[in-house]
Amino acid sequence: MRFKETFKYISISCRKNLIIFYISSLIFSFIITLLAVLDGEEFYLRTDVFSFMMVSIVYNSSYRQNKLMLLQNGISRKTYFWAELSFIGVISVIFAFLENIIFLIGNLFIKNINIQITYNFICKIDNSNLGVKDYAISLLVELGMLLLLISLFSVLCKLLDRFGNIVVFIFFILIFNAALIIGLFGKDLIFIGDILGITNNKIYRLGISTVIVILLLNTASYLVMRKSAIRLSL
Amino acid sequence: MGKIELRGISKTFKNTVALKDVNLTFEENKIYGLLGRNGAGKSTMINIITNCCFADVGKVLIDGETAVENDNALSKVYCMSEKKLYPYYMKIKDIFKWSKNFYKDFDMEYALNLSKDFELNINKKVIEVSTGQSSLYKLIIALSVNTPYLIFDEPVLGLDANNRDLFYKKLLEKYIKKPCTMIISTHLIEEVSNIVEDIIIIKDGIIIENKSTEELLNSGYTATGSYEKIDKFANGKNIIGEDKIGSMKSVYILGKPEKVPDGIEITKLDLQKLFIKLTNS
Repeated sequence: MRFKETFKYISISCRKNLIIFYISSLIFSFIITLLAVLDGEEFYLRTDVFSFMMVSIVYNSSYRQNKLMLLQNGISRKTYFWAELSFIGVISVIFAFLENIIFLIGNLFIKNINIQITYNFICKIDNSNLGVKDYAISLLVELGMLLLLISLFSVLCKLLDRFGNIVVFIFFILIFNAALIIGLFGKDLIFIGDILGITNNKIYRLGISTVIVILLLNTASYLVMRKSAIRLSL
Repeated sequence: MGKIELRGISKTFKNTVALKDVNLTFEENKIYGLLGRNGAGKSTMINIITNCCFADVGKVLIDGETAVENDNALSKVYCMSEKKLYPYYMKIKDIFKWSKNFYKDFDMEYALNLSKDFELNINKKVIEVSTGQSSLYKLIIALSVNTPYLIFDEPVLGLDANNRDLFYKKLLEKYIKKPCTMIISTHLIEEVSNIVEDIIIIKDGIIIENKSTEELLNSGYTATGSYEKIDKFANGKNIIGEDKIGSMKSVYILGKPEKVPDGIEITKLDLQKLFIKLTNS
C-alpha cells in the first residue's frame, strides 16, 4: 500500500482550501457572536458544525480531481479511501483542538457562555423554546449551512457520474427532510433525534452520531469510487 | 521474467462489447504497437491494465501479481494518454514534483532537460497549455518515470512534425539506455512501424493479429511499375490496395512474389495498407 505518498498528496492539495474555509467560518462565527454580545446577550456560537461542513465540502469537492490524479499515478482506490479517511480524522482532531482553544478564549471575555448546538436545520423541535433573537440567529446559521450543503450538492453532482449523483441526491433529500420526517411522526420518531443527540443537546451522542455520519459519507464515497468509471471531460 | 498478462479479459459497456476473451502477453523489454480502428477496444484494454476500469471477466497479471487494487503492481506501470487526469490548476513543474513523490525512480533532472529540448514552459498550468503541449509534458513524465512498463495511448496527439521526430528519437534513446516494455497505441501507423518490434491488431474487441513487425510485413509485398505491367502482374493476386503516382502504379499484394517480370520493382509491404485491409468491415 502506498499510503504515505497518497496521504501527503491529499493533505497538501487540500491544505489551502481548508485554511480559507476555516478562517471564513471563524469570521462568520465571530460576527454572529459579536452582534449577540453587543446586543447585551450572553451568547457564544461554536464552529464545530461549520468545521464539519468545511471538511465535507473540501474533501468531497476535491474527491474527483484527487481520484484522477491518483489513478494516473498508480494508486488504487482502496489506498485512496484509507488515506482520505485518515486525513479527515487528523483534520477533525485539529479542528476539535482549535474549537476548544476558541472556547477558552471566549470564556475569558464572556461569562456564562451559552453553548448553542446548531443542528436546527436537521431538527427544529427545539426552536419553540428560543427567543425571537435567538431564533433569528439560528435561522441565519441554518441558512448559511443550507447554502453550504447546496454548494456541496452542486459540486458533487457536477463531478460525479450518474450513480454518484443518485447516491448524493438521496443523501441530501434525507438530510433536508430529516426535520420534516421527525416532525411528521412526532413522538414516534423523536427517539431517533434523542439517540442522535440532535434534540436533547447531549454532546457525546452528538459526537457519536457525527462519527456515524462521517463513516456513512465515507462508505458512500468508497462505493462511488469503486463504481464510477472515469469520465473524460472534466 | 517480468511481463503483463491478460487472461480471458472481457468487458461490456451496456450493449457494446468492448473486449471479448482477450488473451495477451506483453514480454519484458519489448516495444509493442497496439493498433485498431476507433472504438476497437484499445483504450479499454489500457484502462483495464491501469485500473481505470475493471474487466467483467478475466484478470490482468503484472509480474505475476493481480493488477486489481494492487498498488505494488500498479506502481510498475505508467500510462501516458490524452485524457485529462492531472488537476487543471496544477503547474507542470508541480506535476513533475508529484511524479517524483509517487515514482521513486522519476529522474527530475532528465525531465527538466527534456522540457528544454521540447521548449516546454513548465511554469504553465495544465489549463493553460495547448493540446500539443499537454501531450509533451505527459511524454516527458513517461520518459523520465523509469517504470518497467510504459503505455502510450495516442502519444503524439497535437504534436508538430519536429516534436514528433524528437519524441521518437528520445524514446529510442531511453529504450537503449534503460530498456523497458513499451506499448504504443496509435493511429499513425507508418510513424511507429520502424520502432515497434511486435504488432497487435485489435478489431471489435478481438485480437486479430499478434505478430512481429517483420513477420507481418513479410506477409505481403508492394509491386511498382507501369500501369500495363502492374495490371497484368497483379491479375488474380490478393490485392489489398493500390496507389497511382503519375505514370507509375503501386499495388499491395498478400503472399510471396513469384516470377517477377522486368520493369516491376518489388519492395516491402506498406503496414498501413495491410492494417486497412485487415480491419475493414
